[in-house]
Amino acid sequence: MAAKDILIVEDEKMTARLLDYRLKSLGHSVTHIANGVEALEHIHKKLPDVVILDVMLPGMNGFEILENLNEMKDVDLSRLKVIMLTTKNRPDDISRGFNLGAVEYVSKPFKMEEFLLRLNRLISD
Amino acid sequence: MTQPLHNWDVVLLTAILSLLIAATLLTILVTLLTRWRIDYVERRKRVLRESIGDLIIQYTSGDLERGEVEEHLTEKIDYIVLLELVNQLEQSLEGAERKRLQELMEVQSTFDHFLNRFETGTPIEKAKACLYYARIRKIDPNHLPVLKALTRSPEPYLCYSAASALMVHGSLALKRDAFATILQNPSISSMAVTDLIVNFTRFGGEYHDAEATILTEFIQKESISAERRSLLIYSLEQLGYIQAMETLYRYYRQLDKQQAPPDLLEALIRVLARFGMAEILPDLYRFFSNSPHAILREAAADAYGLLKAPESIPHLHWLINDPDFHVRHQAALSLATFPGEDLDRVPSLMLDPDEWEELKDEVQPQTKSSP
Amino acid sequence: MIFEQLPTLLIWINILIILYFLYVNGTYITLILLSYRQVRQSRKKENLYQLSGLFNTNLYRSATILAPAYNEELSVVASTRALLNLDYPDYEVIVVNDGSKDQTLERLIRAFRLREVDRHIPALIPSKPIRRIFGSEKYPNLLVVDKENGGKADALNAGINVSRKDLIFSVDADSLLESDALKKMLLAFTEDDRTIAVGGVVRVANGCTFRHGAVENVYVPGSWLTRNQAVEYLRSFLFGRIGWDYLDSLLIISGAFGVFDRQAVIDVGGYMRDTVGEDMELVVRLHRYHLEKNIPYRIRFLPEPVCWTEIPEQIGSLARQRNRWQRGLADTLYRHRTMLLNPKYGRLGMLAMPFFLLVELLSPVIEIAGFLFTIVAFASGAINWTVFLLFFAVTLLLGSLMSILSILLEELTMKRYERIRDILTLVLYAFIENFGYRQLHLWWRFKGIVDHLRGIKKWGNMTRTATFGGKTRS
Repeated sequence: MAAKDILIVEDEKMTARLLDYRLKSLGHSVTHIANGVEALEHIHKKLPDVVILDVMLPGMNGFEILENLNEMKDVDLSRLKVIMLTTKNRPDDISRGFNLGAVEYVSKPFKMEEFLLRLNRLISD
Repeated sequence: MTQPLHNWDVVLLTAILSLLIAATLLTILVTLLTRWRIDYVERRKRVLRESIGDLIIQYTSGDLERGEVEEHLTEKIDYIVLLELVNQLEQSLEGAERKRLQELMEVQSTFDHFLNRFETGTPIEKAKACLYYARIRKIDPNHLPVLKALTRSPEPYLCYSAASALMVHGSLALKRDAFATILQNPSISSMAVTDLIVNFTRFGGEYHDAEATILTEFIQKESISAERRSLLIYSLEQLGYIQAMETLYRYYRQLDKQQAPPDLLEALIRVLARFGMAEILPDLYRFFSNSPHAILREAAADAYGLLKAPESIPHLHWLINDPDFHVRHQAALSLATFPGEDLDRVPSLMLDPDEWEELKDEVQPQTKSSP
Repeated sequence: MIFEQLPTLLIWINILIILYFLYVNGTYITLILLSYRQVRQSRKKENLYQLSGLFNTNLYRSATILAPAYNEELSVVASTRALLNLDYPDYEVIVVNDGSKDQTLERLIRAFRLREVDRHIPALIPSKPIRRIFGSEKYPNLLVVDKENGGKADALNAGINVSRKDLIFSVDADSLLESDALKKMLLAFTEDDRTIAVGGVVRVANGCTFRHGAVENVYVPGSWLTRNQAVEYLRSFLFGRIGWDYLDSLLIISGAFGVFDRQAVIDVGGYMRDTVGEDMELVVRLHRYHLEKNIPYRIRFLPEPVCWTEIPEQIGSLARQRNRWQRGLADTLYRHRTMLLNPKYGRLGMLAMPFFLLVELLSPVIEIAGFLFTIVAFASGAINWTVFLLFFAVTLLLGSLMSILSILLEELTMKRYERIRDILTLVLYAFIENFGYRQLHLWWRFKGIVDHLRGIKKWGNMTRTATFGGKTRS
């Protein structure tokens, strides 16, 4: 399986570090940004293959980021795969995210195994 | 006449001045030294935090074995940082990783550290140790009576922490006693009490019958304040303990509706209504549509909306003209949930017509969109 | 004969002045030392609450952030956006457009896609009429209230009426909250049910760098005027207040950063409209109401939550600000003068209010008078150069020592300044403050008192407003 360029947008440091570690050990190239505005700048500069986007972020939240991505001309959301990290028991968040162009979601707390499976499925499509 | 005074002045002032100069120089020196020391300590702390974080991540991912971890943790490590970082990560994970995080917390050196604090620490340290105990899976049974004694501590945070630990490890009887102690301690905040209720029920049996029974027992104990008992009643609702409703209703029935504390009655009315106990309606009509307490009239309006008995409609019409804003608002909301009820046909004799228009506008689209 | 007595008289007056200085500085030093204890304790406890599950339940008290806006078309959208993204589970933002004459409302409507909504507002606190209320589907926790102009206090009262949450959080338009500020303020309410008001730390934003709405580097500001203020903020607005909190007699919570129990504010009648210092007046009234009715309560100041605010860079704006503060202080102390030295009001009446009266309020008068007396005494030969200079040096050093102690405490407890050279700058300004800034400040405050007294004369017999309104007022 090809190595992908993954961007993690998550403000909880430990969660981000764990994801970073696991994804890197699978051979992917990983960047981790804690803040929405910075993440958008990064995407603008270099388009990643996958974005793991936490919905609850300080400053600009995940949905606003998705909206901004939709408005960015050089971003094709059918190719840039966005996985949302949502909080449990918030079905509205999930549908909202899908409506805004996300292709997959994982709700916290999640099983790492399951997360990796979903990610793999996305990448190999 | 003035000369001797001058000499005194000079001496005194010079003395004070020298003292001040010394104090000032000392303070400046200490400030600079502190800054250097703090820089050093902060840097070390940051490095430590990084390395503990790495340790946690590697262990969780299965890249480190327990033995290796134990080696690393025998160095001087900040166990509070370990707990804090594990805490953060635990909230995002479940399954295999979560199990491993749990194991990490129970590594021998961490355990020993907190054991030591539990036995010989200051109250705050003891409290932290108790909270640690509440997070791990097994503790020394000899500590249970100690924890019980700590729930009577004069420090509220220590009572709370010890009680938290007992909610995880204590027998049902111990949990019950700890709970009773906490409920009767007024210096523990409501949020802490509610937190304990959640923990009390989280670690119980499958159908939670025992817990429900204990909670209802406390609700009926007059030695506990009405405010606390209301909290318990609302918690029963939040937890969905249907099995407690019969007992609750029986308790409600035998209360003197005009003398019982309003807080308590309010909680009972709202919760019983939420569980569909239409048996309370006659009392509501008789005592509460006209109660001198606004909160009870409001609770009655809420209950009428929930129980949807047609006989309640004239009562709601009455309450829409209530002198208290919140009662009117609740009455309008409740009335709007009755299918087929048209708010425009409600006699609003006492209300200001503008206000009534506003109220109707607000309430009606709201309920039109709900299923 | 009087002329013979004059030298002795003047000497005695000078002794009184010395005693006054000892009172002022002694109290300040005590407050500073007490606050050190307080911060240490609170640090240890904070750690405790982080570990416990207290923040994991869904039982946060809900909050409304109230942001009154008047003619702020340039900054209102940005400040509102910043408020919408705080780390707190259940809160709403209510922006109150106080009859702005510019495009404030229009910009809000466009930026947040506002639509008019129906909401029935109880008149729990009287306020100028509300014209319309706006909500946003995109931002469900934002409400904008459009009302007739009535001033900041009136706007706040209207916002309180509209709010249906437990807590009211009053903020200033030009302040930046740290994202966990609200959560940290909640700690006081969590710890003790009786808490009705909490104040947090207001720090100087000038000179710091900010990135994406959060502070990145904390530096000392650049100009003489702002550096002096930076030292002052550490001394009076940080450690002074923590000290009073320790003594359970906090008189002021900054309007830029305060959380109040909504019902408590309604019970005392909301913010007072015809006063300049409405934030301080509310706090004193909250104390008074609960003490008179014997209702257990607590009003706290927490050193952890931080709000960054722009301080005036121009002398003119600073002068106006301090003038206004002084008038507000005078007004509040006068309205509640029955509390002064009245044992019924506990430590507040016996310790804090006299201090605020004699020191915060009247020190300009006393110091200027003292200065004049000293000159007269000096000119009439009653005291000589040595004594005069020594005395001057003592007062100078005492004042500087207090500031330096505050800087030391800042290092020991908050550790926000990153560069050693910034600490040294602050230490330097602890001395420099006495040559120019202090005198200017004295003058502005003196003018403030004069303006306040003139204000009273101008309006003659003002109607005595009821001290507590409450729901019974129609």
